[in-house]
Amino acid sequence: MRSRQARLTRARAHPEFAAVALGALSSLYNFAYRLVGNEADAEDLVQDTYLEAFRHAGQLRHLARCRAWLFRILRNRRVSRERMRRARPELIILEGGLEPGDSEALPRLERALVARLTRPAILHALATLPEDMRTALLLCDLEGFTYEEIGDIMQCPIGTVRSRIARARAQLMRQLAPHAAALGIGKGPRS
Amino acid sequence: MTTCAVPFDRLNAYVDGELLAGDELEVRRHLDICATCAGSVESLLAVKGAVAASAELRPVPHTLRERLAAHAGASSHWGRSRVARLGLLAAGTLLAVIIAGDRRERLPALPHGGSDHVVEALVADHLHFLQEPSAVEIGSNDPDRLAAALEEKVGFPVAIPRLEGAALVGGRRCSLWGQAIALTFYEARGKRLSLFIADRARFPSPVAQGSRCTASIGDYRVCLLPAGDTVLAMVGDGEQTAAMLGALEVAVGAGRRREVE
Repeated sequence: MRSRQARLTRARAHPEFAAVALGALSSLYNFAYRLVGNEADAEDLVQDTYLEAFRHAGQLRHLARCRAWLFRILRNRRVSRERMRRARPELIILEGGLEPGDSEALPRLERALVARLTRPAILHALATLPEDMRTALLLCDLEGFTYEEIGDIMQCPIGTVRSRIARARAQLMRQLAPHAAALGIGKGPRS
Repeated sequence: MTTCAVPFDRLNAYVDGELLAGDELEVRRHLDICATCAGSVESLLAVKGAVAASAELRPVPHTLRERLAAHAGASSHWGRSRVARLGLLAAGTLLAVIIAGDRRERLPALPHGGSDHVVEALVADHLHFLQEPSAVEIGSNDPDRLAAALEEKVGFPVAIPRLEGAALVGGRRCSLWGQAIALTFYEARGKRLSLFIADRARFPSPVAQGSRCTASIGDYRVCLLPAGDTVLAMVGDGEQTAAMLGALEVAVGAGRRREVE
């Protein structure tokens, strides 16, 4: 009886689900593009994501979590594809806090002046990040997810999310420092 | 960190508003007396702002949106209650609005062929596929066979030029602003050269005839050349494009008029 009721509830929610899910299409597509780097693969990845989402729409209990749920599916699809594509073992990034020396060597950058950096310089720096770091950072800075939501999407503990984002930003600081210095806006390492 | 008790990843979490209220207050107080950590927070905010500012909203390909909307409609049959039917009607209307909105959004299909956005995207795709181990989807050194295979993938006639001094390696389908484009790869002067072949109707050429090369983007350059119903965009480093442009013009029988930005 309970399962019949649950099915009915989900059935009623389904039309709303389709509209809400497709409302996130632009975000998902742009996020996918930032992950894979070209439109054709981004399109394939997003299509796979939605087909899976439509198939399993009944598993989504709260429509409010639809967006995060879609990002989670997309991320899982991306990881699966990469695993299939690569015949060689994946590079494993060992997680952990920053080493003591890491933050000491970080250059200082000023907000107003970093805004003068060119977009290609920033995109290039982002592209050099390991994918897990880049994914966490983009989910945080572009999509506005909380660490908890990112942990849910990437299926890892919050501490790992925190570490990945911190490491990603530290690496970006180093990458962007020479560009900033060329504009005369670097202030040297943190002392 | 040698002189400061606040770890970097804690400052990072502070910047994201991810600390508990008590911890946040503690960090805030610390920042008032520690110039080093205040500098780190400024740098973190700078990087966070740079990432957010780098976002570019690419329009979703209309074909993808339509496919998904159709699939959403088809998979909704199991909603049988009156409420569900009404909801479905509302969702259908919403989807129709979304699709209609996207149709408006895709006209014109691409920014002008010589625009900075297009040139940047072509260079970005060239660089992406340089590093991509499976970039070549169809391997062939036969221009006719490769053209036939690519035509099926992109849906418009493709002619692949034989370039003297360059060896054809193969090609793939790629897309730009949601429009299918044939991408062919050559080896020239020991390096990869990309030749994008786009439908001219969807990729307005900046010149009626002859070639036009853009200013360099980093080490790379894009040369555009109308050829029949297509536009060719050759992307490589400055040396390569300078050396191969003549061969490309000869191959497509183009005039010698050139424009350089």
